Amino acid sequence: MADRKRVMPYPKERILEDAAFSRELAPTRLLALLLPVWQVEVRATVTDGRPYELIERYIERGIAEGALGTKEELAAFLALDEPIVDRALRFLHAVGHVVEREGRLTLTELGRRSQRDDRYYFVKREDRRKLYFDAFASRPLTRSYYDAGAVTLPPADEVMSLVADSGQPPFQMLCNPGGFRREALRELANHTDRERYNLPVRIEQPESLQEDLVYLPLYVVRAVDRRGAVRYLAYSQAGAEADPEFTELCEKTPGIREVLDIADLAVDPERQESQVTEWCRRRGFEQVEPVRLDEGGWQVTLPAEAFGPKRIPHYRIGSFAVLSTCLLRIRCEDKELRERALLERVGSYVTRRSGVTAADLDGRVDRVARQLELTADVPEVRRMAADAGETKLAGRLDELLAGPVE
Amino acid sequence: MYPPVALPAPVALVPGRPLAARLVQHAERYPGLLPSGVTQLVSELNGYPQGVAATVDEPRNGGDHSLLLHTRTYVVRLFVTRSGDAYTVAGINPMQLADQHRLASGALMLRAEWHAKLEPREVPPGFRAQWDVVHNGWTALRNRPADRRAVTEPGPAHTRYLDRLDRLIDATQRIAGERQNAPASYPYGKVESVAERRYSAEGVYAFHIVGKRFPVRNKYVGIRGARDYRGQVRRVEGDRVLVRFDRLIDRKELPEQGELEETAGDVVHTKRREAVRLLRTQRERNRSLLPVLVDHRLKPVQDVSDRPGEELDEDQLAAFRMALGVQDLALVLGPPGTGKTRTISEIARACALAPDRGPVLVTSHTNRAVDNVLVKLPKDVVVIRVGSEGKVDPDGRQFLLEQLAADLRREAIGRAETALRGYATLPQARQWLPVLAQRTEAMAAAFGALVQERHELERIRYAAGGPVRDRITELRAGLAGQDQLLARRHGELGLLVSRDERARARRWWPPFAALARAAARRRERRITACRAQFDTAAAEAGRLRTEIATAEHHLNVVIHDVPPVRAARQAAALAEQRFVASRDEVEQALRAIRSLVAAVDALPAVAIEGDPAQVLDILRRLNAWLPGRLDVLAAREKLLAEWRVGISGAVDQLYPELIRYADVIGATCIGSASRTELADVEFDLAIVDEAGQIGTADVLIPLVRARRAVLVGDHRQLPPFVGDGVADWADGTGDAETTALVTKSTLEMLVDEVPGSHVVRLTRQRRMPRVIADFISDMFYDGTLRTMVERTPDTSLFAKPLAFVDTSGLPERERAESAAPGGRKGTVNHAEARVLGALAEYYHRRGVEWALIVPYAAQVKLIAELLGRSIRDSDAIDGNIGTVDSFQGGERDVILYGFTRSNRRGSVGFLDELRRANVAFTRAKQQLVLVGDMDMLLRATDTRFRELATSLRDHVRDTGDVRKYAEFMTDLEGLR
Repeated sequence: MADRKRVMPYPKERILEDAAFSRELAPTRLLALLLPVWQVEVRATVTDGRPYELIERYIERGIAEGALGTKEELAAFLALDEPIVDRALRFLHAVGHVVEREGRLTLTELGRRSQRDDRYYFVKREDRRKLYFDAFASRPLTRSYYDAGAVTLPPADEVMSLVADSGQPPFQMLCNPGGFRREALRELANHTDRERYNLPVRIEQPESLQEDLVYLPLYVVRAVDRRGAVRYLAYSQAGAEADPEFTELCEKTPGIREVLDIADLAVDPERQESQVTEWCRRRGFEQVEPVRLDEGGWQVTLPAEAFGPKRIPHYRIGSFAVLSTCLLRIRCEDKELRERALLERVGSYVTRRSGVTAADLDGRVDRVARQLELTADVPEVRRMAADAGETKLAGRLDELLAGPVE
Repeated sequence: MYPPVALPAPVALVPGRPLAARLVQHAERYPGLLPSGVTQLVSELNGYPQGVAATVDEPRNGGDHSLLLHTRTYVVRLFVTRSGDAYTVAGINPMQLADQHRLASGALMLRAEWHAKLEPREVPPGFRAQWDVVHNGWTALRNRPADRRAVTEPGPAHTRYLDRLDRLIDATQRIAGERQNAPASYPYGKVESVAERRYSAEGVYAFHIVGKRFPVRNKYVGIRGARDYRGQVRRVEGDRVLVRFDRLIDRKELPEQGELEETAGDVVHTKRREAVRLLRTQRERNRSLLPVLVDHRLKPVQDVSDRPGEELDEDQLAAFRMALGVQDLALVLGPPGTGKTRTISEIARACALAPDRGPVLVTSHTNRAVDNVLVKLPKDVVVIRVGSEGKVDPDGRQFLLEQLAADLRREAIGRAETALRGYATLPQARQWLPVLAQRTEAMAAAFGALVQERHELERIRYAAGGPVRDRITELRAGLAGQDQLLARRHGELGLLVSRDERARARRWWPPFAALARAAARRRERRITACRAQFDTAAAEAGRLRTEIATAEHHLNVVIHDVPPVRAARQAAALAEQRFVASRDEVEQALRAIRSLVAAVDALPAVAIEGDPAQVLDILRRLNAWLPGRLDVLAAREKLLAEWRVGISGAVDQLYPELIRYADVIGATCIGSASRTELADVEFDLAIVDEAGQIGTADVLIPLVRARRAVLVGDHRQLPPFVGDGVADWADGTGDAETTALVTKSTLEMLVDEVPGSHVVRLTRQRRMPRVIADFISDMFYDGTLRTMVERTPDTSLFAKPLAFVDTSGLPERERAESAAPGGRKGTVNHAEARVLGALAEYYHRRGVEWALIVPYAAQVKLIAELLGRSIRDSDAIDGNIGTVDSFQGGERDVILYGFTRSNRRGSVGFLDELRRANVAFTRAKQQLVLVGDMDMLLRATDTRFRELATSLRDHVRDTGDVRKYAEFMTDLEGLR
C-alpha cells in the first residue's frame, strides 16, 4: 500500500470520483500504465528569459529612456553607489545587453528586445538541457513534468522495481513504438505556448546528444459517456485531474487505443462477477446482490450498518472499489446516512482548507451530493447542518455564503 | 530502436492443430482484429518492410522456447518444428498490456520473408527455421551492458573518507542530542514587544520569567514546542529576558505563556551532511577537493602577474600570488601578527577588481574572524555580509545584507524624492520653447534690418562724399593690390625658409660639404632679399591704411550734416537699438529655461554678445535640440517616479541582486550554506580564515561552494573545539583517521602532505614587542618568526614589555587554586583574580586597550564579578575578559594572562595544550603581563608544559620584568 502511494501522490478513488462526479462519466476500469517518454539531452543556442530584477531593470531603462550614458550618470540618477552600478553593468555587458560606444553606454538589440518585452533575455551558447517528449508522437511534455519533486520518470533499468512494488493494479509498461523523431527538435523552434511546454524563448540549431527512454506512471480510467462513447482519461503524478495531452494520446494514438480496447474486450464477465462477489463476501454481505450496469461497471447497494468505524468509512459511500478487472460502486440505501456523510465531507472540506471561496464550495457540494445521490446546494447543506445541530459548520457556511474568506 | 535481426533465407509458417478453432473463438470476441489464418498472417507479416518486434519466451514445463512476433494488434506464438525446417503457429492472440510490457523490456526487430504452408510436408526442401540466428540475437540483447550511469561513483578511498565523515557527523549530532535531553528551561508568564535597536526584520521580544532561574546573556533559546523559533538572549533586566530571534516573528505567533528552553540546534549537522552529500554525488564546485583531501593530489599553481594594491612583504606577496594562481587548494600559514588579514584582503581585492574572476567567499568559524577581514577591505570592493544581525560583529554590520539593502533603499527613495521636485518645473520650461524660437527669429529679423540699414548708411555716405569718396575708393584699390602683393611675398618667403631648413638638416658627404655650404649661403642671400621686399610691401600697406583712415575721417566731417546721411545714420541707430532689444529678449528666454531645468540638467552656454551671425546659428541649433532634450528629461522624470515606487517595495527584493553584484561575501562556514540566495552563487575562491581552528566537517561546507580555496591559519594556535563526548567516541572507534578528523583541522592535516608550492609561511610579525615575539618564535615556530616592528615601551608600571607577577611568595592557602563555586566545572584562583582585576581596572581607567585572558570560564566569571564593582560598563567587561578561545585573531595593547593553576600536585589541567599559551601571549601589542605561581608551574607534571615554564622563567628573568605579588599589589594600590 505504502509503495503504491509512493508512485501516485493521491488515492485512486479520487480520480474515479473526478471522472464520475465532476465529468459525469461512468468509469468501468482503472489501468496503471508506464508511458515511454524520451528524455533527450539537447544542445542548442538558447535564448531564455527571466523577470528583471529591480536595479538591472532601471539601469537599462536609464540607458534606453533616460539617455544616461555613463556609470557615473546612472549612479547619480538612481542614487546608487558607483561600484554597485559598475558590477551591474559588468553583468549586463557580459550577458550582451549593454555595450559602450564612444564612451557612452547603449543597449544592444538583445537589450532592447528585453526592454520591449519586459523580460531579461539571455543567450546560452552550447546550452545543454534535458527535454521530455512522449515516445509516440515525440511531442514535448508540459512544464509540470519537469518538477522532479512531484513527477518521477525512472529509466528502463529502474522501472522494473517500480513495477514490482506497484501493487494493484500493477503498472504495465507500454512499448516504445519507434525511435525518437529528430524533427521534433526542429519543430521546437516554432512551438507556440512555450511557457506551457517549458521551452526557452528561442532555441536555435538544436541537436540531440543523447536519447534515453524513461517511463511516466499514468492511471488511465476507462469510462463511458452519456452517448455511450468510450473515453480513456489519463491521470499523472502532476495532479489528480485528467491531463488533456495524455488523455488525447491514449484516446487517439492507434498503438495505445487498441491495446486499451483489447484490455477491455479480454475481460471475462464471469471473472468480474466472481471478483465482485468475493469483495462482498469478505465484508460479510453474501446476501446483497451486485448489479452489472449497462456501461460495464458494477454496483452494490449496502445497508447503513455496512458503514462506520471499523467498517466501510462514510467518505467511501458512492465511491468505487478498484478490483483487478472492474470497478465496483459502493452505494448506500439509507438517505439519512448519506446526508450525514455529506455534512461530514463538507465540514472537513471547509475546516481543513484555507482560502476556500463560495464558488469552490458550490462545486464541492455539487460533486459530493452527486456522489451521495442527493440533491443539495450550499444553502440546503447549511440548513441540514443547522437541523443536525452542527452550529459550527452552519456558521462557517454562513461566512462563506457572505463572501470570500482569507 | 530494437536491434535488427534479418533471417537470410525464407521461413515457412505452418498452422498448429488447434489454431483454426481458437481463431474462430477469438473472431467472436475481437471482431476484425486478428488474421483469419496463416495465409492472411503471412501476408500481414510481409507487409512490415522493417520487420516485426520479436521476443523469445523461455520454455515452460519442460517444453521448448517459443518465438513471439508482435504486430500492433496481435501476438503470434511460434515453435520450431520437430525437423527444424519451419515454425508451427501455436496461437494468435490479441495484443494485451502484458505483451506491451514484455516488449518494452526488450525485443528484436525480426525481418524475414515469410511463407504460409498448410501442412508440414508442404515445406519445401532447404527451408530452415534459422532458430540459431534468432537465438543468438536474443542472447546478445539480454547480455547488453546496463546503461552507462551519468554520475560515476567516487572511488573506494574517497567513499571511505566520506563514510568516515558521515559517521563523525552522526556521532556529533547524537552526542549533542543526548546532552540536550533535558535542556534547561525557563517558564514565562508574559511576552511583550520592545523598542530595541535593530538592523533587519528580526524580532526582539521580552519574556517575563516566572521563577528564580534565568538564562544567561548570549545563550541560544527556543520556545518549547515550537521548533522554528530560535533566538539569542540579549539582556536580562529584572525578570525580563530580551530575546532576539533569528527571523521576523509575528507577535501573535508567540504563546502568551510558555517556556523558553536552551537549544543547540541541528542546522550545523544538516549543513555538514549536505556538504558530504555534494561530494558524494560530485556536485561540489571544487572538483579537485577529494583528490586534494584524500590523495593529496594537487594541480600546479599557475603564474599570475597581479599586483597588490598595498605594499606586501615578500612572504605576503608569495601568498598573494599563490592564492590567485592556485587551481584547487592552497595553504597560508600565518603566525600571530604576520599580516594574514592584510594578505587576505589583498587577495580578495585582486579577485574583486578583475572582471573575469567570480566572487570571493570570505569565511571562518566565528563571526568575529569574518568581520575582521571585511572591515579591512578597500572601499572600491562591494562587500556583503551574510549572517544573523545579533551575531555579526558591530564592525561587520555595515556590510550586513539586510542593512545594506535598507540603506540603499532609504537613500534611493530620499534622493529620488528630492530629484523629482527638480523635475516639477519641466512643463514651464517647455512653455518657454516656442517663445525662445519666436524670439530667436525676431532677433534674426532685427539683425537683418540692422545689416540693411548699415549698408544703406554706407551707400548714402559714399554717394554724398564727392572727391573725398573718390580718394578713398582709389586708396582702397591700392590697398587691395598691396595686400595681394604682401600675400605673395609671404608665400615666397615661407617656401625659401622651409627649403633652407630641409637642406640644413641633411648630412652631406664630405666631398660635397663645401658645395653645400656655398648653396646655403646663396639661399641665405635670397631669403634676406625676399624678406626686405616683404617688409617694403608691408610698410606701403600700412601707409595706405593710415591714409584711408584720415580720408574716412575727412569724409565724415564733410558729410556729417548732409540730411540724407543724417537720416540714414538715425535709421541705423534705431535698427541697432531694436537688435539689442531682441537679443535681450532671447537672453531672457534662455535664462528662464536654464533656471527651470537647472535642478536636473545643465544646458550648454551661449555667448550671446558674440558675433550675431554665429550667435544666431547657435541659437537655431539650440532651438532644434531643446524639445528633444526636454523629452529626455520628461522621460527621466517618469523613470525616476517609477524607480521610487519600485525601490519602495519590500527591501528583500534587493537581496538576490546585491548578492550577485558583491565582489566579496562574508559568512561563517555554516552561514555560507544557510541562505537560499547564496545557493546559486558560483564562488571563484573561498578564503577560510582561522582555518587552524576548523575541523574538516565544518570547512567542507564553504569548500564545496567555491571552485578554489585558500586556507589561512596557524595550526600552532588553537585546534578545532571538540566536545568531550565526541573525542571519546573517536577514540572508541580505534580508527586513527577518525581521531585525526575530530582533533585536527584540515589545515593541520594537509600542511605536511601537500607540495611546498601550495604552502606559504608568513614569517614577519609586526604586532608584538621583540621580547615577546622571540620567546614565541623559539617555543612554537622553530625560531623562524622575525620581528619587523619597534615598540616604545610604556614603563609606568613595568620596566619591560614582558612581565611576570609571581604569586609563589604568598602563603599556600592564599595563592592556591580552588574548585569553581556552585559545583560547576573548572578552577578559580582568588589571588590571581585580585591582581588581574586591579591591573584591568588600572589600564581601563587610563584608556588603554586591554584584554584579560584566563583558561577557565569560572575564573572569567570571578574576575568579571570583581571588576563589575569598579567598572560600570558591562560591555567593556564582556568584551575584554574571556577564555583563550574567544580571543584568537584579536589583539590589544595590553594583555593580562593568569595561569590560575596552583596546587601541590603540579597538575596544570588542560593548560597542557600549549597552543593556548601561544594564542594568549601573542595578542599583545605593547605589554604582556603574566600572573602565576612560578614555582608550581616549574613543577608541573606535564613534561612539555614544564619545559615551556622553564623557558619562560629564563626568558622573563633575562629580558623581562619579574615582580613579587605582594609588593606589586602595594605598588598598584599606590597608583590608584
